[in-house]
Amino acid sequence: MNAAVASIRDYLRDVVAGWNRFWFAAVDPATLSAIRICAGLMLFYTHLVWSLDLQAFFGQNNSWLPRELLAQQGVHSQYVWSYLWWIKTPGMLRAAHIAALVVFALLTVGFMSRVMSVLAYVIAVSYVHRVMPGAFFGLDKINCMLALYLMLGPSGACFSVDRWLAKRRAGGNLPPPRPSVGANVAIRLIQLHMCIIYLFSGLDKLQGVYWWDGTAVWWSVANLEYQSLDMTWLAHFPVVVALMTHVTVFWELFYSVLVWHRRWRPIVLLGAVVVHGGIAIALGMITFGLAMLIGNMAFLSPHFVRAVIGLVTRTNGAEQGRATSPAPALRAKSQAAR
Amino acid sequence: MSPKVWLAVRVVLSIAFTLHLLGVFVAPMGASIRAAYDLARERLQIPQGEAIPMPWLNRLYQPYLDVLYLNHGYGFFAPDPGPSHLIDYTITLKDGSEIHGRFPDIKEHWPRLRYHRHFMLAEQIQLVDPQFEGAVSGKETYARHLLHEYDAKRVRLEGVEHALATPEDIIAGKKLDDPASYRKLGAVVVEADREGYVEEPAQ
Repeated sequence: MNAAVASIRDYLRDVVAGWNRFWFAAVDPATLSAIRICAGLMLFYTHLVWSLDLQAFFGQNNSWLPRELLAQQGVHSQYVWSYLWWIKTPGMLRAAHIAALVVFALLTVGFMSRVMSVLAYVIAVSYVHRVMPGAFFGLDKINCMLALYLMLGPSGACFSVDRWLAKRRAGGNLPPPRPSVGANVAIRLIQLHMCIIYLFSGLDKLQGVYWWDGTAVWWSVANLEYQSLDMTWLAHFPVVVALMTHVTVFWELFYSVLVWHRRWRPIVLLGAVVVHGGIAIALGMITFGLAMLIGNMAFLSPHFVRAVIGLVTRTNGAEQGRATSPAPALRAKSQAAR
Repeated sequence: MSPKVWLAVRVVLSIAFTLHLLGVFVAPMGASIRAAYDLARERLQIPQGEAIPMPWLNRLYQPYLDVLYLNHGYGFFAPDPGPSHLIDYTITLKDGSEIHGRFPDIKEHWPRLRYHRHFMLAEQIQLVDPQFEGAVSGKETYARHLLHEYDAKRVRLEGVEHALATPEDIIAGKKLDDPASYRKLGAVVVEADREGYVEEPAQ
């Protein structure tokens, strides 16, 4: 009996220790910072495109989606909010829109990153709530999800103007950014949110017929309104269509399990590049495909991110605010947290 | 931070993360449950048009999920990829001339994201057009927007469904934009000097 109790106690102790490692290990904020740059760019571009139809979608009068339409029962709940409802004149709307673009630009370059990430989230949600339903789609969901979690961690700790300014103030002799629990929490929440997205994307497909009979990819590429690359030659290759359909469903269903396994992770992430790259190129949803790939970046190790940034900027990574150079301690922690 | 305080912080944060992630899970779960009921209306003898109730956990979480913009499913081409919906319009200007158009229009709506926003306007018309007495009509709203944009006299707006071609159709030489693949869904007409709209059913 004592042995059984001891073994249960050991098990519970292991679970608690694993939970603590998963959530509360301090990690190098490089991955979160890289996500800040990419998500910031995507938010900036998404809202820059809104500039072309600002009055038509967000104007107070005669817009596509006026307030009385969206505010009526069955469309919006009382908890859906947007500061854009309070903006009455075209001039104010333009000014608020320019301010929004400035916030997204500052988030991207990492100036006052924490403040900008909070503002970016408030702005992004306000815009999508203002055009929902009517003109929103998956891109907005991912943009807002990323903006939400960027608020929680030190996303400006690396690759940022904040870092550059701090270095200047310190006379060029700034210690590396400290590993951060906040960065870990933000990354963990993005990772788990991505798993939930893929799980339900897969499960919802099981309610259909075409994802079972292997023709769904055909019905997607045969949609002229989505099409950005003519893939109708696939009509001659039904086996290829069936393979693509089934691989997509299985990849989505098992993403949430396999992505945590170190050996499977590169394959699962490569799958994301293929699936979302395919959607971007063939189905014309470049922004949505890229946003999903930005979400997938949460599974990249800070070490890998630094190596890539070093390659792109042709530096060794140290100038980019490498966290705690005595890497073994950090690496041990961040590997444990992975 | 003392170990005791850090422990308390970890406990509070752990509860917060768990509750948050439960909400993130509950949102698409509720959407999937409702979609499943909707697909099985006939078998379960649920009349068309009758709203499927929200599961209790979704009702509980709704304020949190709505405020944070997390209250959605992630179907992405589920349950099945289907036909597209477009909107044709005819705008009669004050001088009597007419402008014919369709949205989305790949030539007019550039870049691609802008095109996609207009595509969603046409696709989500059913969502913005609740069918209950006294409801503001989405179709009328769209038409009034065009009326205002062009300072026009009259706008006729017609829903169009674009059916998907089968692989056999394509092998037989049919094109994706075959005129026979477009089906008219009914129209609304609004006029500048009249309130309300006139509905023309699909023929």
